[in-house]
Amino acid sequence: MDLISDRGRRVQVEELNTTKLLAHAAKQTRDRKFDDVLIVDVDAHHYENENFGEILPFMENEVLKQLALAARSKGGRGSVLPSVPGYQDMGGRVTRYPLRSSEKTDPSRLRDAQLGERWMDALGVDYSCLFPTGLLNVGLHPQKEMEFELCWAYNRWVTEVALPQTNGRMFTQLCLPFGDPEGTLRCVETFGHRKGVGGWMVTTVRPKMPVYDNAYMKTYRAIEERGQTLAFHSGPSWGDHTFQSCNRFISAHALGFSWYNILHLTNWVVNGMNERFPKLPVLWIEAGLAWIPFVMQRLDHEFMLRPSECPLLKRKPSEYMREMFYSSQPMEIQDMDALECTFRMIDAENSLLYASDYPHWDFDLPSTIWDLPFLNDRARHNILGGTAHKLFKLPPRNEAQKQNLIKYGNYVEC
Amino acid sequence: MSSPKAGKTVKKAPAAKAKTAKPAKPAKSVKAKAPHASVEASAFVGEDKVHFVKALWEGVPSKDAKAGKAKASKAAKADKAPKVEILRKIPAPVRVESRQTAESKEALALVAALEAKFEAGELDVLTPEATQALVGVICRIYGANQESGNKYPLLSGRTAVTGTDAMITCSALLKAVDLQVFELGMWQSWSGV
Amino acid sequence: MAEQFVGKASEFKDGDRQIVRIGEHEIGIFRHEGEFYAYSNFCLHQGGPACEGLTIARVEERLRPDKTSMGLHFTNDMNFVCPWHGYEYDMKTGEHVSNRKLKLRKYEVITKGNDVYVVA
Repeated sequence: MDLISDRGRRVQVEELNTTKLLAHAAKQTRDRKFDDVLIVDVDAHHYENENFGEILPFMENEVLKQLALAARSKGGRGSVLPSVPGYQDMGGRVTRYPLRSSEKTDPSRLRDAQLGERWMDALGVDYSCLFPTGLLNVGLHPQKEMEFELCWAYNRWVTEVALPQTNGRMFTQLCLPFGDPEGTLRCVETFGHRKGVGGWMVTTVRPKMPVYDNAYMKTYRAIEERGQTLAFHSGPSWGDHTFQSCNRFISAHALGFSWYNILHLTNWVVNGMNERFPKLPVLWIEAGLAWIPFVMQRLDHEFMLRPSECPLLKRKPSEYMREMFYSSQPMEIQDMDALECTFRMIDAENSLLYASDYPHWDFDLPSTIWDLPFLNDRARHNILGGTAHKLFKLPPRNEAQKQNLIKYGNYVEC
Repeated sequence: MSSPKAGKTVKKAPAAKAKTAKPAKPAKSVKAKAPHASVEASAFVGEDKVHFVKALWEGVPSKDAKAGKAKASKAAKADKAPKVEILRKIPAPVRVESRQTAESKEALALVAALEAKFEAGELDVLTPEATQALVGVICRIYGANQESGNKYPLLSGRTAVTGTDAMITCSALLKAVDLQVFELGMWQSWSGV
Repeated sequence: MAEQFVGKASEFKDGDRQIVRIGEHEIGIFRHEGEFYAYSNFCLHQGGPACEGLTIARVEERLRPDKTSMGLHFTNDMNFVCPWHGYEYDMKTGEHVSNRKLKLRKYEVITKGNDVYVVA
């Protein structure tokens, strides 16, 4: 297999083997004895477009289903999902992108489950939350009925086909077709009880998303009543007018992921959603951490000056923010003092959830948390899995993990 | 949610197994000289980051591991020189290069000299006659190669030629051979070029 | 530290690479423009296999004297890239190309006749 290098040079490489690629990660796992630590990865991905052949037939509406199937048929010229420009693979420098299709798996079992086990075992991850990749752009689809259909079909496929093949190692927060508030509620009511569903995910890559709209209150209540989570998953959208001034992908990517969560978290907090649904666990995913102290300070500052614009708030915005949850990746490990300050400000010991984002280009290993010099053992265990264990009721996979959960006060019966 | 313990993959070692496997893989001492990297502190990289980076690839030794270290180092001394294990061989990238001719080398050297003078502001580095001769022979060589099927872009991706440069030159070329722009358009549509 | 035989020079074509393990050391040995270079195969970022990824020319942005940009170009300097996250290292020094203070451990390579040794 060849990779394209500079000036047309071709570099011959072996086929991709995730276990071999991650051999150094497996060494970290052994060195740190991660087998004894329950590690939950709250944000990992698969490429659901590789399974569209199985997913699209789950669409309900016959006309839209025919459009989607025809678009993907040989010679079809349509596209199912909106795409945004970008170079996640860095021109092939991150080799698992171009080599992905070369990896061999057993054809009798879901490929995504097999690939998942390879990287999870290497990283020492016990459970991972399965999120899609291309479907994170579904909020950019101009047809709300198509958004609903695609989310519906994906949710059916994940719960009926994919999760049953993962030996309980993967769980999910299913995709909500947020452009269709009624469809959103229908998804929660239909799939909420299914095995492996820990919560719900709203992709925040959208041209407009009023999280405070009355149309969503029934959905929030339904999720809260089920004891499930609501996760806002961010992403880049280079085509968005906000980012059209960015002439490099790095700019659109670095800002985009944080930006969409900044935007929607601000609306969430200012509209008093935490007061309205105090028992609803809300997660903010894949935006890094550096933005959180920034937003805390901005909102606290203005809240003191303009309290009449957010009368539902009984406390400072930062206090509500501290009670929500944040996924750790991509963690900005550049200035250790700044990172330590961020951990303190967000109460990381109780609010931060480890996420790898594997296999995406900027994935983080569990060692990025474990090796932080300023963390105590309790914080390490909580962030890597203890807090997620309580949120998603994921059982420990061996006795040592259970004892550690008990030791740090996290153990709940699952 | 309830995920049964039965859902383990084969490779995930249970706790007991991990313990028995441990002595075979003694962790390194904290004091051990960094074997994999030299990382210097700077304004960009703080001291903590250095420790952190080291920890990432060295591993964090536990108390048990430190105790095991003494035995391990004795064993290491008893060993003779470590064996070399070849993990992988990665072949050289295939170079896509065209045949080099003496004339090409001379042409590249000439171009380098011309560009240096041009960048220095010497607009008359080539006389009109020399320019005409060069453009003329390049037109003939390029045209013949294209027609014979040896197709390549006229300018490399590294070119400093601007759009304006290209338009001025194309216009002048058409004028020199007495062609109008519409004729170029017709020829392109007929020939599919 | 001892000289460890890692292969015959004649078996290393220009651009070839070999990843070897010597005791606790995992080393990438490159042959580039006739010279041998050997670096730790543990990336300084998160410990990825730094020497096993793409080799690719360094990218530079060229400016005209008036500071206008001529865009991005490949230079003739070569980098190697950690395949995990894209940390890019200078082939000749093992330094990270955007922070030269971060550098992979470099191992001495000795050739004796046709034999290539790494000091590790």
